[in-house]
Amino acid sequence: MSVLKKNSYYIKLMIPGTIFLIIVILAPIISTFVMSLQSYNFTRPSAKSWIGLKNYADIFTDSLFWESIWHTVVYTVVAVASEFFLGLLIALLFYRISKENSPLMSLFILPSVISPVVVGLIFRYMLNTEFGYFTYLLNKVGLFKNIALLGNVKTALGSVIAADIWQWTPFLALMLLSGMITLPQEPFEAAKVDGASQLDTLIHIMLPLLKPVIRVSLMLRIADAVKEFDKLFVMTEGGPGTASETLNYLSYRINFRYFQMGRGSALVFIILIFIILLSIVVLRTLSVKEDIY
Amino acid sequence: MKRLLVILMVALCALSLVVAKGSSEKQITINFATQSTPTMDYLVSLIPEFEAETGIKVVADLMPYDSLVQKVTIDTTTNTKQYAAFWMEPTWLGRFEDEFEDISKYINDPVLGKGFNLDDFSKPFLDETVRINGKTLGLPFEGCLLVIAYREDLYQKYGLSEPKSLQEHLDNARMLNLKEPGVYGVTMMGKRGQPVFYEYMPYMYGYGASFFDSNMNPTVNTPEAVKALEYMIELSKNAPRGVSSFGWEEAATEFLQGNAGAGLLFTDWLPTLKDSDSSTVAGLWNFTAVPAGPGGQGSPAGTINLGINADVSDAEKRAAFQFINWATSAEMQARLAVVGATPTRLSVLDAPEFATNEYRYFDALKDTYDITITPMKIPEFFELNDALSIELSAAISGEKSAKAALDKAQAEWVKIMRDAH
Repeated sequence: MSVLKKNSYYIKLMIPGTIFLIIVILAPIISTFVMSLQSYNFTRPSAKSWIGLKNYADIFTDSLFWESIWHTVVYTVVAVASEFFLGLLIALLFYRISKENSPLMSLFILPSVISPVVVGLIFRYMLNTEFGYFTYLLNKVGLFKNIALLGNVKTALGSVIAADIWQWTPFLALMLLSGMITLPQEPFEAAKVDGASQLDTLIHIMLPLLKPVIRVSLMLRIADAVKEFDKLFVMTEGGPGTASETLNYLSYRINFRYFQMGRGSALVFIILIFIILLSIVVLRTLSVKEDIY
Repeated sequence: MKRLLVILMVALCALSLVVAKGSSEKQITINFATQSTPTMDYLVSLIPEFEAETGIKVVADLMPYDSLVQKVTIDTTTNTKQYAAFWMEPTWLGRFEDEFEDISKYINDPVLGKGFNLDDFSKPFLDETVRINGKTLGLPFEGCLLVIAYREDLYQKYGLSEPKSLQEHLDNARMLNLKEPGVYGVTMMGKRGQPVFYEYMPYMYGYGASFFDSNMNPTVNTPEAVKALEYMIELSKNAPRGVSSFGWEEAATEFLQGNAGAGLLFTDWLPTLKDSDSSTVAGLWNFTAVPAGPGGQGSPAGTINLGINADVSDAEKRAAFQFINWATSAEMQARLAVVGATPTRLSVLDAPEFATNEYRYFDALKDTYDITITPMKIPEFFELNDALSIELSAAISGEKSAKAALDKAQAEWVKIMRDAH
């Protein structure tokens, strides 16, 4: 009680923010969960009824759900890992050239400020089998000859991932470069004196020091990749067949094409838990020990 | 001076009374939700004419297709009454049967329906596209028919004639694919979702297959349906590679760029086809109705209708009817036909001013009106469409055989229909 009394001034300051968070975050989550326990089709609101966990049972017994999970995991892991490694290479390159933020980097970030729908459209036409420039270039070097990249079950998801890598690698490069620029120079100088190789310096000094930046960057990108929708919608609509159907796209179809809000809410809730679990894994893996500094 | 002042004051009072009376007669404003298309955009640009003629203000809300479906659904089911008039499609009839107004009473109204000629529309077409359970839920605004577009110049060059059967269509495609350098026999819509679904339907009707039996049990994997899908796969061998990723735009672009000799095309591409800046085949093409197959003939309706929200006030409904009546009138249809729309009025299709070489494709439109079929008029359309299109797309991309794909679709359809009832 005394603690509350002691901090009452701060608690009062927190009240508006807390109320705001409850309204915009907590209330929709609770509402989604409540709806997920109902049979509720938006086009027949009068036929709403409580069905307990049936929506969850239906989802977990649907093979398309597991396929979507697999596609989501592949999309997230391949896209984010590629973006991270490519971004790291680019950041190191820029860092070697100049230890300050280069104006060139501002130009380099351009893909990340383009709307994902536009990126999807660009890639859709660039990968067109008849007049697509990327298809032409790939065929010129002997790759994917006689294969329609967006129309083939083996390459459709990979093509969307490629678009994602093109769009978001510069973002990770910028984040990592910004982190590198702020690093203290003493550990690097000490390593140099001790005769550490450049690879050793990167692995044992730079990357551990960059952990906070890496953690935030990866968290942002993982959350974005899991809920990717725009590029998939524009480029493949989840096809051909179900070759590029992800969890979020499945959720869109159930919620906003069939208006099955009960089942759709259950799926949204599962996606939420999926993202939370992924975030925990990333946070644990990249936990920052205070003694690094 | 005093007298002048009194006269001035009396005049001012009289003037203010007139102004007050005028403002008390409230002007009716109706909101109109619609997709943005070249024809619709043109109609919207003409709305000031309607406003000047009737005193009714129309606020058009132009949006992409998916947003339109969502807005109409939300507006009608939550009773927000934001829109009085809507763009609607034949396949929506089942979902919105109770949400859209039956316009029969306005057609029969001595004032609103004065001079209205329902016989000016093809009856089979009206029955298929705007009627459900005896109710008329809208008026056809634009044909948007699915026809076969073909290269007249190439057909003449190789002595081919307009296909009279699906087999002839396939033979023509094979011939062009083989003979004409740099040109594929056909272009196709194979992308998952509505494109592949609509591409498949004329073949399905042609082979005598249907979606349901008389008891509404799904019949998507009958031997006839399997043959229809096998025909479509065979046809795709004469199409550009990657048709399984072709939506409306890609399929049409192949034809517009002169890369394909023929293909199923919705007639809303007419303005682009006729425009020599956008099409390398302007003036070189013609339309023909989808030909019959061994089991029948049919072309799915993509018609754009205009309907009225059943929840808005009576005054708004009457104003909305005046608006959709104006938009679908013979006069307006003739004006829209000039900019490339597909007129829905038979009197326009038969009008002497369109009996020219430029409008030679009108014959194909008239033929198509009589074979138009709305795929289904049930609320589950979107879900069933998705389930089937996933499998059709898998079959076209070579992932599955026609039989395996349709068996999977049948199982999905049975489940969807069971869950719905």
